[in-house]
Amino acid sequence: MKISRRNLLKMIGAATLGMALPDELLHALPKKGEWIPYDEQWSAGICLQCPSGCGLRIRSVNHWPVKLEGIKDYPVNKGRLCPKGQAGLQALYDPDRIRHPLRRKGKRGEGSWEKIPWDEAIPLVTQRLKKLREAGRPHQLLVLGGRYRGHMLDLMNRFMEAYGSPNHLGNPYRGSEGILKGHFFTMGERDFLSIHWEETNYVLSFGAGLLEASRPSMINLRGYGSLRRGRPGIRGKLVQVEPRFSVTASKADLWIPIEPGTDGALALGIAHWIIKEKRYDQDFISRHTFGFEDWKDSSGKSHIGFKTLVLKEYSPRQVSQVTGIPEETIIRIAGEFSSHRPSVAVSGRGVGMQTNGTYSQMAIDSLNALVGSFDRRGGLLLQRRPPFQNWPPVQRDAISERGFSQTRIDGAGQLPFPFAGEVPSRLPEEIGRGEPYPIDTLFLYYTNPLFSIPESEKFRTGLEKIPFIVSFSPFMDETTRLADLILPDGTYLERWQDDHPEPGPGFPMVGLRSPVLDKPLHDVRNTGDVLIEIAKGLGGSVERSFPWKDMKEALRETIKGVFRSKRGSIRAKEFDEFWKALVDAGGWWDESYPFGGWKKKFNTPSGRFEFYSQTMERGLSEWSKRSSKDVDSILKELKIEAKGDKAFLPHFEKPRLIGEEKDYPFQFIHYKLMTTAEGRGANQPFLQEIFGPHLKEKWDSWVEINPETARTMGIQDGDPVWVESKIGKVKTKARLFPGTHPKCIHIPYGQGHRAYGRWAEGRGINPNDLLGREYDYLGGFLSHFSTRVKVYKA
Amino acid sequence: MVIDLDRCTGCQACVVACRQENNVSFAGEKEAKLGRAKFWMNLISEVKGTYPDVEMRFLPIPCMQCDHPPCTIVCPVAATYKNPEGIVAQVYPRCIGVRMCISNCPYTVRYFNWHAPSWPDDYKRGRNPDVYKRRKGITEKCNFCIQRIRKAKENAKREKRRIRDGEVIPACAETCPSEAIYFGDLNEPKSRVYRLSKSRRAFRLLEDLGTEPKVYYLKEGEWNDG
Repeated sequence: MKISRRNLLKMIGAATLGMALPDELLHALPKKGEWIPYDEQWSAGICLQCPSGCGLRIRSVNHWPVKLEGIKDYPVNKGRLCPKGQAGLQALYDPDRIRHPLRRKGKRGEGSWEKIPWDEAIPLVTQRLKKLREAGRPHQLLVLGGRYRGHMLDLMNRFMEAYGSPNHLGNPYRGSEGILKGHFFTMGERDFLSIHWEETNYVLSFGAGLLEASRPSMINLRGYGSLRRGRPGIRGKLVQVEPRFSVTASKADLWIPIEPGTDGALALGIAHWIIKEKRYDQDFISRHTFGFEDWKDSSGKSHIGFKTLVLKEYSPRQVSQVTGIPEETIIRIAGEFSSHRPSVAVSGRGVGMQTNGTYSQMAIDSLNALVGSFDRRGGLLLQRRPPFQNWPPVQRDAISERGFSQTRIDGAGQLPFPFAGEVPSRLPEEIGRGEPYPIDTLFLYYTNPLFSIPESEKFRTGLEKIPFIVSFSPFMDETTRLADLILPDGTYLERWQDDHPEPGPGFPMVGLRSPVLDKPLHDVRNTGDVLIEIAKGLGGSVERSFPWKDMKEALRETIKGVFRSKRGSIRAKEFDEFWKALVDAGGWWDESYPFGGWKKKFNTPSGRFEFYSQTMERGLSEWSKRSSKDVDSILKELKIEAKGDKAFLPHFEKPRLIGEEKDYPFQFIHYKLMTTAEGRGANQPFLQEIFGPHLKEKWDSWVEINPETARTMGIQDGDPVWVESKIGKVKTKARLFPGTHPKCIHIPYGQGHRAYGRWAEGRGINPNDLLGREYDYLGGFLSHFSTRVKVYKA
Repeated sequence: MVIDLDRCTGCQACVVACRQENNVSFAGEKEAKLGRAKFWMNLISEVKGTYPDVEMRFLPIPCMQCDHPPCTIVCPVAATYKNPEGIVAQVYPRCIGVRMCISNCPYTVRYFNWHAPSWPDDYKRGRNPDVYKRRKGITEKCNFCIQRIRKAKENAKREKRRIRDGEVIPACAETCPSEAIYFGDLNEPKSRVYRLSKSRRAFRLLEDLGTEPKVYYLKEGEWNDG
């Protein structure tokens, strides 16, 4: 029997009246000094404070969630949570959440709204989209998405295809595209890889914020513990290569300060020694790689291999001059990395946010190939997807066919961004010019480009040209403030949503969010449900593409595939039984992970790991045919210095920077802290109050300057200073931090909101206000670490 | 309690978990900058050296639950005492806010309520009902999540058994992502914390003061360790 306070009082009443009570009830009565029981429930969910996707056990008391813990056996977090996860209830209970649908009153961005009911709000969208479609202009719908999880991305893609617009920018990996592009060219892999921490011996990290801001954050934190003390007798090693002395660097066995943007060169220097000394995994190289030795193509033309290139151009001495790292150190790491197997080389923002990010990542991937660490125990895991059941094919009519085949507005997949999936930072100009066509309606889903993309003023000007903006955000962020209509979603504790973490633990797994409350805290709706309703309102083939009542039903259909596989942690005879067990457990996983699936997982033209990227070579040749330019001139257009075979092999390209050294002496590198690693925790006071532990900073921003450098400039700790780039300037507080490279300055990312609730707004500075837009054209992404700045006393 | 600094990543999950579990409100920008934010579990840091020879250390510090606590003896109203379980407990209704305990604590882990704890209305629903409310003008501190210990004790008593090793864990230890915090009975030779406290890596903070702290740290490993 469940004992609530009311029942208890009744029982006590009964007892005093001298009525007989059954033994078990007497036993349950509180004795002197004992707790008075209340109604307590535990339910399961999945965290969304960052993209890790950790399993949550939610403790609710008298209906209301009061504490979050981790699910004990959930493969991602094994019962543990990071500070962001722990602060999650402050997202749910945020007093500044959007509580009901809002329609703009007055001017854009003015912040005056009127409350409207859902049954008026949704038709506003449906009717507009219907008219747009009837006019044959469905491609003028633009969707900017951000933190999609699970099938929400598939649902939005489906909507766009059925409706007929190619203009979906839904990349949830913004800022880390360089890493993904490197994996894509070498392995055809489109996900991040995670480390098999439990068995690895040596982690060589090129600027990966493993203990602060990395993907998957919880697996890395947990993994660090087990690397150090998880195995008797083995204390795994961590080497951190990074210009700034970060938390990860402070916990590493060895910190190697490096000239910014030269990680690729260092990786090739290490490769040089390993190849020269023949310390590489010869079996893996000969059976599972392509382009290591010199080779001849089908037409008999000979090409140089990785080995020849590296031995010729990247000796430790040559590399030492570029990177500023002593020759002995390079040789030492090369020796340790190749002899302490299983060893892995990983990368992070330091690599992915440079103009040479793609090539650097290819070089780092090559190191992993040399020691054969892909998909091996103690190596890097290629994430497997769960056996989902596919939704029925999308229904397309003539309008959607025509709309969907239009060129994208951001120029992704066109020169000079031939391999880009999307280029959001080009949108301001493209939207502003109305080229190749104007945008009529914009959807914003879990993204806030006015905060997260450099030169936000230009973006704002661009956005203002769009006649109708709809935001689905639960919070009043910068971009949502510009909306004409807000159809607020709830938080991650209030909705049905699946979650398959990429990267996760390697083996297939899927988590399931279910609403912790009977109904959301406010009058908000799951955007999945809203999207299905909009599709239904549009009728015809769009409606037929969404044969479900709501998101939950769509999820149930896809998860039937997992049920039918009869594998993994949940097995049941009936689907309903399976579903119930899934809701209770928070997720399903199949731990019998098949390591060594190279043949299946290397999705390249050769089916092997490609030192020489045929994907890149074929792609550019294709463009050469289409544009009647030769490949070398296309390379030039992509601002790549290398020519011929070298361009398709991992090599070092000098990073390009905005601003001259004489005017702007510092390289500006922003970094992320554990507290706001995804830039979204700024509206949670618990996270604000522990923001920067290394400098004991809270609730604020600062700029880190090397103490010696600051002294020569007459700047003291705590002085207000201006930081200025070619693009803009910001005023903040100087903090002298000895971990700062003398030629760099650093500002933490996550503050400087101009909206986003009372705790975030008007606090600190946003590094994006300084950044210019320089690109890694080959990878098709913005390089955030390419702006030079100057600093002076305010 | 044993905290393994070789596992600790300085992530502060313990800090937030503690605040959520124990209804420790946030101070806000102004008060936090005055050093008035309450962290029953606090992460302190130290940075020294010059580029590129820099050192940075992080240390999570809860109350040390000293066996000879310097804080209890100075309390004029016996609002704080060493309880039979070994926890330095604070009796909130008895505290009159003279703050002598705060100034006498060498570990600076006692916190004063300069204001009534402020919770926006919406947050109030998310408070833990097992924790005693604190008012303005009194001292509060870490008590190893005494509410969890009590609950476990009652469960054990009902089932007529002793508490099992690892059965109770404070919020900080429960959440620690890298499993750096261990909790248990230091008097029980079979417990994990007992074993760890005898490790060659074990040390205690300001041991020479004779406070007999009950939080052991395990120092970070060296390159050549195992």
